[in-house]
Amino acid sequence: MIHFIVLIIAIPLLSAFLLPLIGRLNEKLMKFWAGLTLLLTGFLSIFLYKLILEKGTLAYTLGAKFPSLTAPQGFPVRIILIGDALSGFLALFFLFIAFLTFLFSLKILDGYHFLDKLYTLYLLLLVGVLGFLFTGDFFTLFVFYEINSIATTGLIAFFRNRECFKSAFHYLAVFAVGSLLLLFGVGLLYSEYGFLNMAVIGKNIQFSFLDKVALSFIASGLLLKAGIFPFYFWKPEAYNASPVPAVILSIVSSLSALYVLFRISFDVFGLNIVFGKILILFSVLSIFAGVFLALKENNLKRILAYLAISELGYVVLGVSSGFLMPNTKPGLKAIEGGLFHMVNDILDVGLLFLIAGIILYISRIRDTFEIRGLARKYPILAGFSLFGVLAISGMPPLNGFASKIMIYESVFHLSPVLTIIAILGSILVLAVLVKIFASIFLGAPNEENRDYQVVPKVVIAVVSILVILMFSIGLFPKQFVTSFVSLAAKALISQQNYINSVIY
Amino acid sequence: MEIIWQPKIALISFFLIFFAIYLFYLTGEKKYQKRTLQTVSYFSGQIPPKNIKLEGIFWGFFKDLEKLYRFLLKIQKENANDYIFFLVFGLIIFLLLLAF
Repeated sequence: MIHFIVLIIAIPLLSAFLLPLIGRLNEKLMKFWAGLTLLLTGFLSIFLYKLILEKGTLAYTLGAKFPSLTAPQGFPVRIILIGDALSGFLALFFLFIAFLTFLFSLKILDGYHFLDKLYTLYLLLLVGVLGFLFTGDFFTLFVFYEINSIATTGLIAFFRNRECFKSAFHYLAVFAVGSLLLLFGVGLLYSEYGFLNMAVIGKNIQFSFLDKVALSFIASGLLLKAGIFPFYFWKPEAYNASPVPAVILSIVSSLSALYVLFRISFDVFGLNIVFGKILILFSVLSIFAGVFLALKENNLKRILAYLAISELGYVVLGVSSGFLMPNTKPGLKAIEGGLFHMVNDILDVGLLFLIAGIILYISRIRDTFEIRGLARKYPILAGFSLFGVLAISGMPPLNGFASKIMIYESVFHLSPVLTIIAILGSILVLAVLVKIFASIFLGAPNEENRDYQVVPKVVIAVVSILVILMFSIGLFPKQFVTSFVSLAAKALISQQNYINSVIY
Repeated sequence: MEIIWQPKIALISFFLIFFAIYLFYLTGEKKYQKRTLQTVSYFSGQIPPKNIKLEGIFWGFFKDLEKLYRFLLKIQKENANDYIFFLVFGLIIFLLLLAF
């Protein structure tokens, strides 16, 4: 049973390398294999989450039947994977999104060349994400960071045109530096403590000058992956060049990087007020920079990329406000709000990206203002996109409202100004989306609209599942928060529990 | 959230609002003729000029924040050197505020 945690990473990793071989035999078989891998990994994540809820935090030592045999100093000197209520829940949810996106890609990307390579990179990126969630030591974190970056670079270059190659090169260049920063931070910690194990470092942390420098380097590397101000510049270019399914997984990857940042902030370095304040500053600037640039932009995927930056700002604002209000009810609620918004972020931004993918598929036009009056021909698509627009702007009764109101309420205890800024950001998000919704769906249709293709039924089914989920979470947020988010937030803030799961 | 957000009340309210909108819709003109001027978008009594586009909807906003936009667009130029510059810039902020 405990092997689930390693199988969740190992199965997609091994399957990814088999895909090009299977793809040479038969393309349909290759797609079936990729889908089966995702489904199997998804089921394993359900069992793992159930196991975590029954037994508490799980620590898995790679290659050791009894972890104590590899523990001369009281902790296993091996690669350690740790699963708790937060990482288990996020793995379950991210795999669900990855499977839906895979189904979406089957129709939207049908007919393209090199699909075997796309799905190989897709699974590798997923491995990077799952590695981020379960890793218990810093060096494995660096390895998964690299896997993540390389897979994303390949996905950006998938369409094999000049623009995509340029974006992929930019991404590779900036993440080569980003991973070096992360490695340097890890090296500093190793030189000071002689360990790479997160829990052991968390137990011995002094928060000396060297530790602060290490935290600065590690946080910079992770925030680059997340795409928060001032590290967000690569995002619009990369998202615009990538196929939509890869963009969704990139958003998942950004959220997993934020998870690692929160994990090491709480459980390794302990709560630091200054660090929390810096994150709040970055989150507020992300909210504004994202929406301001989205207002000015005309390209649909770039607009959504900017909005994704803005929405991540809310996640960071919620959780980092919790840093500044430790052991208080508003502090816990802020953390819950931030974690809840992680879920809603991928649902809302993901839905809008899927709709953008459908619009690009049916029209082949990237400039938002060249597409008009789609609602007459595609009323269901217009309805779904209205759901997405309202949800991401935080309008009731959808999920975005439920998490944003938690963030507004709890952050108010820290500073009412932050709440005002957050609400203003949401209003601007609505302004951006009103502009694109009115442009694409309302008004008289273009003459060229007649040639637009039919939306495949599978694609509509995938989007419908997301909308139903958003609507259900929005209507019953209390049940969702109590069943999943509260447990996850408690797992995040209990540093002692995390450390004790590894050290005997 | 519990006080502000009651799903049942929200659902009933939404159904009531949609019902009211539907009643309003029923009062509309049913005898309109398709594919005539009656179905063409109406723009202040005139045929809309072609140079007015929806993207100009926030023209005043952009004009007011012209300096900020000039700065934001200047630093977002899709250049790998700029990306790395801002990565180092972020790192320096961390180092200055956190470590020193």
